Amino acid sequence: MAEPPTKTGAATAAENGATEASADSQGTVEPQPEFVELAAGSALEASETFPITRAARTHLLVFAGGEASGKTTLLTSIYESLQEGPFAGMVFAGSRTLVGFEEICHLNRLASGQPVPETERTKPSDRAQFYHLSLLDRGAAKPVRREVLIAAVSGELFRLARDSTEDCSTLTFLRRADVIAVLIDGAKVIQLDARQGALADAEGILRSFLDAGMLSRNARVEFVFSKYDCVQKAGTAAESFVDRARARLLQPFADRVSSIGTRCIAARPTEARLPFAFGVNEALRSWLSDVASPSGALAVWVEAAEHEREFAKYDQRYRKSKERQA
Amino acid sequence: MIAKTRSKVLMVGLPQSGKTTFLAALWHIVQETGVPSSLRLKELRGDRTYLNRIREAWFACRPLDRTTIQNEQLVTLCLESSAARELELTIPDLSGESFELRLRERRWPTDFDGLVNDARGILLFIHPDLIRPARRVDLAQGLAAQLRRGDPSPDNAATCQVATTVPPAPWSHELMPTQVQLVELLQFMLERRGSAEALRVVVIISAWDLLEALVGTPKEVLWKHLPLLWQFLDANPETITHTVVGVSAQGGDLDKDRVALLGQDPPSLRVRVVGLECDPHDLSAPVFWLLE
Repeated sequence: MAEPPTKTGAATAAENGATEASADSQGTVEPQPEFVELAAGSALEASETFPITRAARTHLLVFAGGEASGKTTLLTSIYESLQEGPFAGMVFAGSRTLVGFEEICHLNRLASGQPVPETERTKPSDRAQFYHLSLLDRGAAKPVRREVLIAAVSGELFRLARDSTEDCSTLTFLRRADVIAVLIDGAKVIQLDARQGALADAEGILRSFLDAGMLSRNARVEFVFSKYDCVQKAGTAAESFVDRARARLLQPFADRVSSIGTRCIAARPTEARLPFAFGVNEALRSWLSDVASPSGALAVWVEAAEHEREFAKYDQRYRKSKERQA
Repeated sequence: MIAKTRSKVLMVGLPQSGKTTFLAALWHIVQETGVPSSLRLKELRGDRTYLNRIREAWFACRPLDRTTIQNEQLVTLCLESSAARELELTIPDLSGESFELRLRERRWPTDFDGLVNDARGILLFIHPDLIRPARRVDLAQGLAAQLRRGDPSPDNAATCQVATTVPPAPWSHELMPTQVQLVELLQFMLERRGSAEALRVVVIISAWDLLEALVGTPKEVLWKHLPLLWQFLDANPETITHTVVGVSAQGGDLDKDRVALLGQDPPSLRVRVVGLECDPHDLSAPVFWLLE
C-alpha cells in the first residue's frame, strides 16, 4: 500500500511562483509564499471562462431581456432547484461560481431578513459575467458531462443593445451562444398599458441581435414569458393574449433563425398555484440537448491583451477560429 | 522485513462536527485488545501528550475542548492492519474554524496545501444537528400562507406581499448552506491535488446515536439533508471514491446517558459504526477503508 509520490507543498509552491530552496547566484533562498490562493468562486469574467471552455464542450446560455424581466430569478431558480436534488435530469457535478450563486440568491434567503423574496439586480455594466455549472446529464441516452455557462447581463445593457446597433455589436459573446432566451415580463403582459411595449421590447432585442449579425445561424432562440403565475392569476383573457402573442412573435423571425420557439415559466411564483421553477425543468432539459456549437469550434479562446474589452476578445478569437477552419 | 507504508489522512469538517472526538476514541480503539479492529497500534512513538489528553476526556465522558486554530495538532500513529501491513498514519487535527477561514479568505497555508496533496484520503465530518440548509423566503412564505388559510380571523387577511424599506442584511460566506461549504472544500482539494488517483472520501455522519432511531442509512441522511453534496460525490466517480458512514464516537448524550456510557466495559462498546462491513464498534474501519 505504498503511497505513490505526489506533489509536495514545495512543488505546489513552485507552481505559485515561489522558489522554495531555489537560490540565486548569491545563494539567497527565496521563501515559500505563506498562502496558496484558491478560486474566488464569484461570477466569472469572460477571460476566466477559458479553463472551462478549453477543457470541454461548453453550453453557453444567454438570458436576455429588459430590467426586472426575470433573468436572474431564472438563473437562481436553476441553482436553488439543484440544491434540493437532481433537476431536469441533471445531477450537480460542481461549479466554479458557488459564491456568485449564493450572492444572487441571498435576497430570497431568510438570512437576508427580507419578508418577501427578492432577487439581486444585475448591476449595470458593459461587461457580461458568467455563472458556471458542471452537470451530469443522466437524462441523455448515455450519461454525459455538460459544462454550462450562463451569461448575466443587466437589463440596461440589453436596452442599449436594442436601441443601438453599435452597442449591440459589442455583445460579441452572443456569437458563441447556444441558446438565447429572450424574457418577456409576465407581470407587464397582464397590464393593458404595458403589454404591447413588453412584446415590442423583446422583439426589438432579438431583431437588433439579428440585424447586427450577432447570432450564429445555429443558435436556438426562445421567447420566454416569465412570471406566468401572474398571467394565470389574471385570468383567461390574459392567458389568451399570451397564446396569441406566442404565435405572433415567431413569424418575423422564422426564416432568420434555424430554431425558434416560445415557452412560459414561473421561476419563483408568488403563490402556490404553481410550483417553484415552473417550466424551468423542461426549459433546461431542452436548452442542454446536444446541438452543434455556432462555429463548430470546441472552445472559446480568450487571449487578448488586458487593455482590450472583453467583447472584443471574443470577437478576435471567433475570427481566428473561422480563419483556421477556412 | 515488512515494508512500512506512510500515509496521511485528513480530517475535514466545520466546527463541532466531531473530528477530535473521533480521534480520541480511535486512539483508544487501536490499543484495546480483545475486540475486533481493522487497525491496531504497532508501537508507541513520538509525543502522545495530546492523544492521551483527549482520550482521557473521552474515557470520562467529558466534553472535549474545542480545537481552536491555536491548538491544532499533527498526530502520527504507528499501526498495523489485520493483514500485518505496517502503516504510519499522520492525522492533522485541525479546527473547524480553520476550514471556515479558508472558505472565507479563499486561501490556505502552503503547508496545508502539502497535506492536501499528500493525503491518501479524507474523513469528512458532518454533525446532523449543525447542518445549515438554504432557508428560502418563498418557501417560508408558502408555509405561512398555508397556516393563514387555516385561520379565518380578520387579522389574517393581510397579504404578505408588503413592500419593505428594511435594508437587507449583507451576504457573507458564513451564510452559505453547509452542503455548499462542503462541496466548495472538496472542490478546492481536488483542484490543488497533484495526484492522478481519485480522492478517497469517507463521509462521516457523526453523533449517529441521535439519528439511529429516526432514519434509515447514512446514505439516506446525505441524500435527504445534503442533496447537493450527495450529487457532487455521485457525479464525480473519476475523481472521488466515497462511502458514507454513521459514527457515534461518544455512544450517546454525555449528560443524559453518562452513567450508562461510563458503565460500558470495554469502552469500545460505546462506539457505533454503521454503513461499513465491519464490527459495529470498529472505529478504525473508516480509516482502513481510506487506505485500501
